[in-house]
Amino acid sequence: MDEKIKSLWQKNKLLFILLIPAILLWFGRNIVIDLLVSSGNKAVGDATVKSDELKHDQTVANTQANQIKADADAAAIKKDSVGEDWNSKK
Amino acid sequence: MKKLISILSIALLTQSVAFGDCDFSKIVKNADSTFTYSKELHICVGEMKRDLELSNAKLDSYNKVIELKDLALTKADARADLWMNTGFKLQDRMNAVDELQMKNQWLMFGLGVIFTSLSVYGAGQLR
Repeated sequence: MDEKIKSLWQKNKLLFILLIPAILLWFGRNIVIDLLVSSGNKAVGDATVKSDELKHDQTVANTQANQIKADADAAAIKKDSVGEDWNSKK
Repeated sequence: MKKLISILSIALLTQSVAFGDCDFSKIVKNADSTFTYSKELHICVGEMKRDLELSNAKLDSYNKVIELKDLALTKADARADLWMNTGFKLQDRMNAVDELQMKNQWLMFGLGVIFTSLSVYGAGQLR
């Protein structure tokens, strides 16, 4: 039996050797697919973090703008009375 | 957007501030080149000055508001660009994954045929 296996191997050694790169190619492509998927997930994760930062900055800017506008409107309504000495140096 | 905010600001400012109805026709020029005018006119001018200062302060504040709103818009645009570019990157990766998976499926099919053939041949040889 062993001799038959050895004979089979000797006759078809080239074919078996050529199959190994094909199998390695299959495994390699699977690894590349996994890497592409993980890099895609990382890109989404990084984008989410950056997006949250930008959203926070946008919210802060809008809040500050609204506050400044409210303060300016309130100050414009509140008018101090003018006395006769408005043009004297204090 | 910036022009719209500026126009709105100017419209709001002119509506909220009245620059008085001071009657300057009653001012009398004296012989010594000084001027005489009523107490009411004096107060009226003071109120004008006060209103002008308030308007200027309000204008400065509104300019600051415009800057901040512009900044907020810039950040919003940056977010939109970020997700658009991320979408493009993901699309490229998805296309590459699809292509590799298709090639691997064909390779697996071919290897399956070869291994099956080899198994049948090898079983025949070993008999």
